Amino acid sequence: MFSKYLTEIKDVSIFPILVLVVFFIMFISTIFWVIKLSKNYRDKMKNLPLQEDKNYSNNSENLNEDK
Amino acid sequence: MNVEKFSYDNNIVRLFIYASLVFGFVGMLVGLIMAIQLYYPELNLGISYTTFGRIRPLHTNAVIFAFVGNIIFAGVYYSLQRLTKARMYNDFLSKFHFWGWQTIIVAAAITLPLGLTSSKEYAELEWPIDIAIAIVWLVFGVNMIMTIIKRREEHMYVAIWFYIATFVTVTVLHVVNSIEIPLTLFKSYSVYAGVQDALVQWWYGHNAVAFFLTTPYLGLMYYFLPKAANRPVYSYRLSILHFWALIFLYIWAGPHHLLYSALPDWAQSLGTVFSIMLIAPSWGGMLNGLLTLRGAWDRVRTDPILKFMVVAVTAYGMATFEGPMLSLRGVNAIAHFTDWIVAHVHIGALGWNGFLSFGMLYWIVPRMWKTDLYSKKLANLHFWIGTLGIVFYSVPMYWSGIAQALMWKQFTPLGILQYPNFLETTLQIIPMHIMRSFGGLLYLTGFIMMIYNLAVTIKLGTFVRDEEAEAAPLIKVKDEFKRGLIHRWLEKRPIKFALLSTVVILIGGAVEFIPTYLVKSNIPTIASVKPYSPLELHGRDIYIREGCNNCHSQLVRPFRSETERYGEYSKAGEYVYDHPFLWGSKRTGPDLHRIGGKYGNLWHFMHMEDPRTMSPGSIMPPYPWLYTEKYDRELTPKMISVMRTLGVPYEEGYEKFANDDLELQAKKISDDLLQSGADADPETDIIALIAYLQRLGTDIKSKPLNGK
Repeated sequence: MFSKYLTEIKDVSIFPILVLVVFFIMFISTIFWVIKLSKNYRDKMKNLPLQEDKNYSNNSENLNEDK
Repeated sequence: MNVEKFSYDNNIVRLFIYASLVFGFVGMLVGLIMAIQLYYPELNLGISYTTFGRIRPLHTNAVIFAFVGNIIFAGVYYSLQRLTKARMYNDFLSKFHFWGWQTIIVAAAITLPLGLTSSKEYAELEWPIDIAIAIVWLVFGVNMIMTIIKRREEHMYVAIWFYIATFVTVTVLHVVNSIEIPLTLFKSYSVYAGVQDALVQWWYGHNAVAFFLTTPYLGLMYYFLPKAANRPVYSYRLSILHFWALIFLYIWAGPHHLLYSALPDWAQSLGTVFSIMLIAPSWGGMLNGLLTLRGAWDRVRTDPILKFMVVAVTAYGMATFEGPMLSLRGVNAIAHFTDWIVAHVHIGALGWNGFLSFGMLYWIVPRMWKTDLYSKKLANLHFWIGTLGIVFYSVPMYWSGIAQALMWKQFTPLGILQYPNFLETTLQIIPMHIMRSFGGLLYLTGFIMMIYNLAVTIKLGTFVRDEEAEAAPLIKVKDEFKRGLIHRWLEKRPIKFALLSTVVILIGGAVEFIPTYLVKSNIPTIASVKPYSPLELHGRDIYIREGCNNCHSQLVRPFRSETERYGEYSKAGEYVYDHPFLWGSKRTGPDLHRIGGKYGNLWHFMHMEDPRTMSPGSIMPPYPWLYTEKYDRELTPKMISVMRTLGVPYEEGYEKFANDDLELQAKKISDDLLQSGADADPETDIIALIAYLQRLGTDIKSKPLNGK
């Protein structure tokens, strides 16, 4: 029954097209960005969290095994 | 190059960790108590403050906003400083955020048991607390964004994007859903009514899961999982896709909470479609997390931190597959209103949020106190007892959910309901509820073991309040990378990034709301639906105060099994005066939308005093205080005026005569009760509540709806 109200909105047919365009642009541009990223950049970004804490030898080897 | 010396603020991280441990314990303990109340209702000790309806919101608020909230802040304050190579922008803002948030939690812990609630799930807190939340949240956001602006690392790591999206979206959600008109200092009415209120609420409710329990945790995953595994995230490209697709799609999915309801069909379908699409980014994120461990799986055998994280990410994958399945109409028809949903939620809560938090805490505490974890064995034991807890929790709940649904829908060969008495279906699942509470007990036991383990670790270590660090200041240089300029341009600019995230999440909300408001004027109004009488309004407030909506829905779905059991299915036009809507999301007890006139006044009178007199074996607690406490008649005129402000068509000046009508109706009910041999003071709560219950669903009950 709600299709009745939708038909009363002026130029309702433009909405689905608009939404499709928004989606299309959204996903294509994201994929475009992602593909264009250089390897150097990706490697740098990936390693950002691992850079700091130099004075603390990383991770679980430090857990106490005896207890 | 010139190197700046500065320090990381560890103290604020420590404070949030302590708070999360305390409130995590309280929240889970309340959960356990509630779970036991479902088969041993006497556990409320006959006190109004501890009844299921009042402590259920206490549990959800405590675990979501107190436990998980404080974990998020601890994790964000720890990782953000290190990822930006900068101290938090302002120590005072950090402290203000911490103490403000804890004050809000304490206020919630006091007001919810008192019955001061808006009734909207996960947004139960009343308006003064809502305002406080908005202020404290903004302080958090400003502190975070300013830290990012003052950073020494040019690029924003993907975790920070998730934090920014969390901040902007939760702000929008909280503000839009909490718009309400105050009646008193601790009572307000939602500006939205009925179907619109339901849509706004579940847009909020679903995205509370998305942007409070998921996006910040994904940020934590992208930071702490690589740290714990000591290797970079599997694919940075995937993380970018994961981020934008997730925040874009999530915001649309809310209406899947309202399938088969009186919400317009197109909105329901929209919710389903976007829920299905959500599998892609969710699983992309899960795979990105799990594949980060490639080559490190041998360590998962021995390292409790990685064990917790692997199960957490796996639970995320399971819950985000199950969610879209549940939003398919056929599956939803079975699962909605049953324990299945409770099981689904707890896979996410106990598995994803809980276990990721535990992994993070076991990793972070030894580092901040410069020592080793006190006992790895105890942490391993915690892992196993916690995992067993999840299994003992979820399997019985899935079982009982499906059992409930099948029993509700079972017809005899003659075409009548096989279990016409709802209580039969409740009693059937009690063994499952007993097992579920055992699962909860196991999980809580593991949590206590962790508190002990961390406490000893903290005692043995030395805390470094301000951790020294150094980094070169950020100077504008030409980008060293050649390709992928657009995205890098964006992720170097936090404000623009935040704005774009906001636009992305607003699209979904706008598409759902605007048409619903256009429909507003066209909502199939039903001439016979009239505003509540003053006494019924008081009764409705009592219904909200006691949290009846936590166990009883007010929404009959258009299935034969429901119309046979309850009566005519619910229409959008019936709710136009419901500020707020009270559809509920769980049928621990039967639906009440057509309860009006089903029983006599005396039945309700006896039933509320001790439900077991009318329904032997009922798990509903008695409400003896309703027979002594009195509703506030002096409030009536204001209630009428506020409702009129909200668009309920009470005549001008009606507030002056409202109490006359109220007295008349109250006397009628108490006279009727007296005739049946029950002596009731017309000024007591029970009379107002009976008036409300007897009104429910009667507007269209006797007359068929024309043409619809």
